Amino acid sequence: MSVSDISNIAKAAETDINSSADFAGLEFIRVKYLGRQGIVAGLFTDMRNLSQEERPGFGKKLNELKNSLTSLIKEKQASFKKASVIDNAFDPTLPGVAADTGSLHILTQTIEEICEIFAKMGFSVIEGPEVETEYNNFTGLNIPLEHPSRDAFDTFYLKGKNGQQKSDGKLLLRSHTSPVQVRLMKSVKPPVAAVVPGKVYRPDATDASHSFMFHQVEGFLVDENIRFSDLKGVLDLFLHNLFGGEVKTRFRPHFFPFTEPSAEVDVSCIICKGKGCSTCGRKGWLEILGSGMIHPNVFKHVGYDPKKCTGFAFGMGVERIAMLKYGISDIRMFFENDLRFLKQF
Amino acid sequence: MKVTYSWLKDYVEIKLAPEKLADLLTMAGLEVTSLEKIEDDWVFEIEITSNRPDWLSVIGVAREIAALTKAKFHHARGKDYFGKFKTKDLVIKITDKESCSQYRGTIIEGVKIGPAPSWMQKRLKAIGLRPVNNIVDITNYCLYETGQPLHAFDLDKLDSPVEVTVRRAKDKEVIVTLDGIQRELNKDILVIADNNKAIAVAGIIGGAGTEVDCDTKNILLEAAEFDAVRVRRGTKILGLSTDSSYRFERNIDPCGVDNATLRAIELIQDFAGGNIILSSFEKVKERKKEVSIELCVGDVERILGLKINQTNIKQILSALGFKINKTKQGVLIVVPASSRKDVTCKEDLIEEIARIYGYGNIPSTIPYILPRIIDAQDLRYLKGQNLNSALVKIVRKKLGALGYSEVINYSLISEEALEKNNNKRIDVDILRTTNPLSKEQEVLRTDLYGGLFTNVAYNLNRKNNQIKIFELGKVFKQDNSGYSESFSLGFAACGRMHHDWQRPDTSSITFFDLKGSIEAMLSALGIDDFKFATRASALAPYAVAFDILVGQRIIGTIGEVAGDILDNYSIKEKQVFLAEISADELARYFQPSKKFMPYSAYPSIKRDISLLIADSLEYENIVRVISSLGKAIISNITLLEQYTGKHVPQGFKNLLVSLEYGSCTRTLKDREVDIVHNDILRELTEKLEVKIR
Repeated sequence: MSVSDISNIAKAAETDINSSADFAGLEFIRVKYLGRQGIVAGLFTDMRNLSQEERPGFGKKLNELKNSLTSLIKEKQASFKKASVIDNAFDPTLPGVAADTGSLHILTQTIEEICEIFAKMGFSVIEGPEVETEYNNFTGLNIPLEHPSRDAFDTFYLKGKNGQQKSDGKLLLRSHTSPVQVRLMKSVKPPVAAVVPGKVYRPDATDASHSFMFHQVEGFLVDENIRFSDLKGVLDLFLHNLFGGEVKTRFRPHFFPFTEPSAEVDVSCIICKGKGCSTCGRKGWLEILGSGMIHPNVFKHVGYDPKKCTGFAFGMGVERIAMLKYGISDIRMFFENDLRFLKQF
Repeated sequence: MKVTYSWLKDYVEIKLAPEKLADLLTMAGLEVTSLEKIEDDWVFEIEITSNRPDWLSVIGVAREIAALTKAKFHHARGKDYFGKFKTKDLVIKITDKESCSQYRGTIIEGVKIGPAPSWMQKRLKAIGLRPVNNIVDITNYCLYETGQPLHAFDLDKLDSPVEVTVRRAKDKEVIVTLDGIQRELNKDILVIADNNKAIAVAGIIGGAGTEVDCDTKNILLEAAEFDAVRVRRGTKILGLSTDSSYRFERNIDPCGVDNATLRAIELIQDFAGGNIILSSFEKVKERKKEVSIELCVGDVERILGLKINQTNIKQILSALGFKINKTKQGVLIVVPASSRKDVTCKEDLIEEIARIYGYGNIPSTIPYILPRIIDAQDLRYLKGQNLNSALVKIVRKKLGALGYSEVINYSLISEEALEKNNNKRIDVDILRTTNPLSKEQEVLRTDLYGGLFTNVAYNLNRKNNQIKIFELGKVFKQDNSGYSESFSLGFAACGRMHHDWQRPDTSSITFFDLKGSIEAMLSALGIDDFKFATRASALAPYAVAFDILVGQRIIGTIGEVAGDILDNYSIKEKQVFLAEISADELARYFQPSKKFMPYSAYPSIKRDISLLIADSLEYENIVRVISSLGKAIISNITLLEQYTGKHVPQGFKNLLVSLEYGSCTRTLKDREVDIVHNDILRELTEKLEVKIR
């Protein structure tokens, strides 16, 4: 046994490594030379038979051999890894496998998006009942029972059981989310800032743009010194967050019984950028929000002092916003629940 | 409401081009929805909000333009003919004094019926009216010009001696109206009558029997103020809305009665000739005292966030026809125009100021919002209306990750659909609508099933073969103590499991897929103490159903849908799995604060056991034995396989269960695992009569 034996073994090992064809073959060679009972380990054992003088030089060579074989094997392993991707049979353009995931309804996502923007500004998210009293849906909101302003709020009335008619009026399905304003303001003292998402109902024949059930998000802010300019500022901020910073907004006088002054809020058409198209009816503007300063009569109904507090309220249709944002042309699609629709979002 | 450019110019000087004028009006709250050129004139179609009956007239819109453009508004009252006549010669009786506060009847004799002048016809046509004859056209023209509805009767068709009564109709009283329809009236409807018959439905439509026609010689011209609510009820009962009722419902200008009569007389004399014989006026009550509103100039800034000086404010209000009675330092006493019954408080005045000043000229500011989190669970008037928002978020996120798609179905459904879900008539416990427009809007859903079945059927029909859906929404019930609405969480699953080209084997979705998803969701909510237990009896719409319990409390149901229900929805798929869980109950057991569970850093030891068990033995019993004996060192029990068939006797099944032994503090020794494992095997064999294979 000598140092020359070591170099012979090194040559043989090199040949073996180079000629190995795959991981398994290489592993066989690794075990043959470097395994616990392999050739190199055998040489270390044989060192016992050498003289004291010979041992250090031989040991050093042996260690060099071990190191060089280890790195050669690693290199060879690495080359196999590369090769597997460059394998001729491998076609990377075959489709990737998608996981089986579900989806949240686009209306849920839109409501979340809207509410989150307001939540960042400090609004709480509150919900209320869908079965309401005539008082909360109309009277408490300064909507007289026999007035044409009610024509905008066609409403489903409900048959209560005998003797179940409440003192605050007949039962109905809320025709807007505003009754929650009444309930929340009666529950807490100002300051109060909240957004209210939810379902609303109106007797309407169903077609591409009408549904007897749809969703609204209502919001309001009441404090000692809230002004119309604050309404403009908050809604500007909201609309720019929802539709992007480049949209323009405009505020037009309008009439809602529960706000005074009232404003309709338009954004420049997100489809044609304000040039005029079929979506915006060639006007360049899209109606998005109703809003206004809360009417003092509403404050009186909920027990707030209109001399001390002021506030604004606003409301929007969720389906309309989703239709505009995602280019959905038929409101019925939201409720058909076709998985091809649901899974797109 | 339509007006024409030239007609407006009769009353206000307009320097703006029609397009610019349309923009100006839109931005002032009179939304111009279309602008159309007809011959040499322009027609504006304006959407008028229900609070502004004054804008339902050329004069009202002209006044607005004058205020907006600071132009002169010229509105002269016609020549006053009334002074010349005795007013008592025509008897006018108002028996329902609540419903009619003033009535003026004017008799004009010897009119010549013919076509109205062409300029008038042109304007009427432009706004969508069909010219009839000079008298009828003049009343229509005046209505559109002044906002005051007028009506002309053929005097000779009234019973003489002529006496006009404003009264309630009798029940079942009948009148043929101008549109040729015979209408049955009732006591809620106000009519105009002669000595023995109704001759018009007050404020809504005239009667055919007293219509002005080509032979008419003498006319009775009516201008009156009818009560808004009374007219509105009439329109609802008759299902008929007219230009006239549309204005009365919204409250007309009390001064309009005389103004419009004078304008009409003037036009009739010019274009139909005739002599005014008399004009009789009957007024029921004194007009309400003028409303006067105190406006602090400072309040304008307080509400708008913009300082507008007192001179500006006065200018705007005067231009709108408001009187400013007194001006103290910083305080205005304002009397709105008679046509502006909608203005009752200072906020109304502030809106007028803001409108004319321009909403666009008010700055945008960001308010300070006091940081405050309202605890939605703790609101007196919203009790039980707010599900914990963290719960909702976890449920939705988890189910999405588990492959479930969220659906939203109508909460209003047909009664038929409700029956379809249960296959039997339901007669209690539902809330019904009183005024559905279609069958689909009859009742409020009592559960989420119907919607889910509809979704399953719809998707299968469209070859969406893998269906895993859920809905989180309200369901409604009522009982003797009242109605309730509660949050419910529904699931439906059927069809093929997920598969792809890498794993092309297809298998069907099973009961255990749905069960596993619900378990994963419950775990995500920190609810661990749940179990699924057999129900005593099956429950529609299930063929087999199991209770989902937390502790002892039932929170929901899971099972397989009965075949007859699937037939009702024409669902061909044989197995559809369904579950409904009360979301309110989930909220009760929801553990929002999770604790980290340490896991072992030491290697574990796995032991598989193969068990032959009788079908009557529930797996849960096996788990109970294993976990109670192995409590200290068992970290996992996994069912690897269930096998029946060859080598398994009838009434038995073979289970392969893997037990994982481990400790958080040390490496377990084979010997101690053996001791526990043998105990478990013995106990299973002896207590549960299980055969270890």
